[in-house]
This record gives sequence, structure tokens and C-alpha cells, in this order.
Amino acid sequence: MRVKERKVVKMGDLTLAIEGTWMTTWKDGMERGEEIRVRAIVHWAGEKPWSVSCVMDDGVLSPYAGSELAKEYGSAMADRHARQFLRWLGLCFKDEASRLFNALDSTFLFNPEYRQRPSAIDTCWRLARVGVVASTLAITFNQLRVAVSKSFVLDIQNYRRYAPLGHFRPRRRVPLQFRRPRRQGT
Amino acid sequence: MLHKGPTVYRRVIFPSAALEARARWKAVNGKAGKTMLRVRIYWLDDQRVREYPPALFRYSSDPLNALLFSRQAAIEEAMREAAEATDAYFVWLGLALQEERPLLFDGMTHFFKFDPSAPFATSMLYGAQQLGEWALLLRAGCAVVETEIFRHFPEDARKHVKELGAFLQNWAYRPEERVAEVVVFADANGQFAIKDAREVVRVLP
Repeated sequence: MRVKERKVVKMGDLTLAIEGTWMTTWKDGMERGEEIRVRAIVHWAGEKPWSVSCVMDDGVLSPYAGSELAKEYGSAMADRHARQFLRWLGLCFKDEASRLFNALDSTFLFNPEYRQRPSAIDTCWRLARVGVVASTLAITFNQLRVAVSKSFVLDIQNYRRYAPLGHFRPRRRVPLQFRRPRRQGT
Repeated sequence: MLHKGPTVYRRVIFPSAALEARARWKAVNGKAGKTMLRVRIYWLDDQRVREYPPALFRYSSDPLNALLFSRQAAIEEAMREAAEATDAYFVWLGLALQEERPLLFDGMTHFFKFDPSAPFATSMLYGAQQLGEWALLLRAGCAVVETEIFRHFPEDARKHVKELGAFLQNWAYRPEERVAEVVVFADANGQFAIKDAREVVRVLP
């Protein structure tokens, strides 16, 4: 079974869809596990969309997954992870590195300082997993940042508001005769 | 001009498998340089090999560029840089095998700047990405060490894993050698033993 939930952010030319997918995984002809994947689909107007994705969680099959509630459960999990990813993007925008670190730690439990961990190999695995998520987050965040700055600069309201302050003024060219002479190496 | 430095190899040879970390410094755009680490696992019985995705150690900027006029010095510098990457791998592997989790975590987060007090969230994310790649390689290393020791020395296996971890931590710092190996073997009494193979350089499949 596979359930998808999608959140869409539109910003100027960019349409960013965060898609959470909950699915059951099969082994030896049986449904044995479940996996939750988050995919960020980046679509700039007039260009081909592309996406990056990462696995957020996987493990043994939850008891809910075999019952009649499977679809609701899958939808809730997919939605939860998509929203969580958006929340992390928000923290990136606010540059709250410590809150982002703590949020990632409370999801992936990689910091051995606060809790007992079964083994170092497990810590390594958690760090590897957080690295994959961080890379997806960084790519998505960069795209959004570009969209924000583009839409901000090109927005006429912003231009009117900030132009008097000299934010968008091109660099003044100093006439050649008034330029400071280049410093010569001694 | 130096584009690629020599590869530096460090290996741990078990009775039926070998773990190899190799690093190389490489020029980027002729101005800066970067050092990448690759990890390979050889299964000696069935002549199989698996290589994991490479991980970036660090970018190095000016010092190597300044040495362009002396080829020999540039090669030595590149080799020292590569040796440092393999040292870091085996020191962290040693810590992981000894279950020194806080030390390992602090060392790695400090090195890769995966730091909650980072000024920008992006720099922290890049750190996390780089650290994640290394953590995957360390996990592969830990897994092969534990598998081999539990398979060939089942008695006191956990103790032997820690012994090997302590040995690797001291052994890692040997910048003067391009290829270095540690052999894990059963001695005359069939007991667990570790040897620094000074002169043995074996050809792997």
C-alpha cells in the first residue's frame, strides 16, 4: 500500500511541492515493513520539474498497517513527515541553527550525550541518516532562498519601498581621474 | 602542475575479509584542492569487493597552490593531506569500536562543523551532509570488523573488538607510509592476535 500527502508552496516563479509518502515494503512475498519518504519537487515556471528525496523513517510494519485503518494511518504519517520537513525549512529561514539541531536530534536521536544508545554503530547509522536529510533540506532551502530573493527584488512594492534607501542602487562608477591609484607591492 | 596526489592506503586484514580506506588529494580548478576518502571491503573467500560512496574530507586552499614550483614538495604535501584523512577515519573507527560514543560524536561534529551554535543554518546543514557521508563509511567499517571478529573469534568477541579499536587508534598516525596494513589473525594457540604488518603489502583481488 502506498499513500501520498502533498503540501505546496508557491513563491514567485517557483512551485515547491513537499510530498510525504508512506508505503509498505515487501520481502519474501509478504508485507513486512514500512517506509516513509519525503520528496521535494522543485518546479520553476517554464522549466522541467525535478525532485530530491530522502527516507525519513523505516522499520517493521506497524499493527495499524494491517488493519482497516491502514489508509488513515499511512495518510497521517505521510502528512506528519511532510509538515515536519516544512517546519525544518522554516527553521532554516529563521537561521535558528540550534533549534534545527535539536529538532533533528529529537527525530533521529543521534546525539549520544542525552540518551543511552545501544551501540556506536547505531550512532553512526543515525548520523548517516541525518546527513541524507540535511542534504535534501539544504538543496530545497537553496531553491526557496533564490525564489524569495528573486521575488523580493523584482516586486514593485519592495522596489518603491526600498529604492529611496539605496538598496537597489547600482554601484557608483567613479570617473577615472578621481580613482584612487592602485597600491603597488613593496 | 600537480592534479592528483598519490593515493594513501590503510588496510585491516581479517582472516576472510579486508577493510581498506584510501584517500587522495586532488586539485580543483587548479586553485584549491580537495581530499576524498573511499572505503572498500574485500571478501577474500569469494573474491568479491564492495566500494562505498566517496566522502569529502576537506577542501584545502592555498598551501598546496603555493607549492606548484616544487613538484616533490607538492607531492609530499598532497600525501600528508591524504594520510590525514585516513588517520581520521581509523581514529574514529577505533573510537566507535571502543564504544566511545560521546568522544566520537564530539570529534566528528567539531571537525565537520555540525554545530548547534553555527551562525547560519546552511553551514550546519552542509556540515551534517558531510558528516553523514563519513558516518556511513564508519558504519560499514564497524560492521565488517564486528562480523569478522564474531565469526572467527566468537569467544570474548566483544573484548577483541575493543582491543582492535584501541590498537587502531594508536596505529593510525603514520604519515610517512603510503601503504600500511594491520593483520588480525589467530596465533599458534588459536587466540586472537593483531600484528602491524610493517613489510607485508599484499595484492588484493
